[in-house]
Amino acid sequence: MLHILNKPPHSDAAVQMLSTLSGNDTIVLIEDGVQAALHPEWQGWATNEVSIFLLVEDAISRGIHSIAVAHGLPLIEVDDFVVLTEQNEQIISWY
Amino acid sequence: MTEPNERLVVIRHAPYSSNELREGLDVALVAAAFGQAVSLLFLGQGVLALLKEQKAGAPGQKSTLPTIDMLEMYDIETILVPTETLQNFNITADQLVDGVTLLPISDLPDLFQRYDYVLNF
Repeated sequence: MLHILNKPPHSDAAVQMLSTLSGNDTIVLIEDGVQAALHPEWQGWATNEVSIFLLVEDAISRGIHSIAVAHGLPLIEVDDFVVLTEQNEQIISWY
Repeated sequence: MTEPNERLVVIRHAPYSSNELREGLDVALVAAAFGQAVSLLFLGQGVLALLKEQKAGAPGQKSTLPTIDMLEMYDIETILVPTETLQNFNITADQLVDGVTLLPISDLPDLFQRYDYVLNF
């Protein structure tokens, strides 16, 4: 299952998304979702068997690209994002 | 195996503050009208949509409670609310409309896996 989050890590949407995660789900952080890069303590990072990606253009536009790289967080292009949507049957947007 | 074309509509916004609640209910009713099996899950602020004491809002703001009461007529019988959500809002089940089923929040991962389409409002 692919989750798409465009809200900051401590928002209702982010907290609710975390409560629905299963093993080998994938999360793509877009728009304000990339703010999770500023919070290493965010519960999402600690959830095992879940892969989390940041959309690189939103990390760049919001000025946290270097921080994400410094934390070694995986950044993806839009094309990779599209591939993820093709690979996952269930896609859920947390907006 | 997910139930074939079962829809789960998740409602996460309170009445009046945005159109999300009304849009979510409309999607559920339309899907049900087309014979789709629809279940509803109310999370966070969404649980406020189920308070049975709701009245119309300021002039011009129609209440969504009548729409909630109509769900049954469209055979939407699964209305889910996590018990933890009730606790977070200090609301008890008897303050909600009838027909609500409580579930532990720990059931949500399995619940989400069971549906092909999860629509979030």
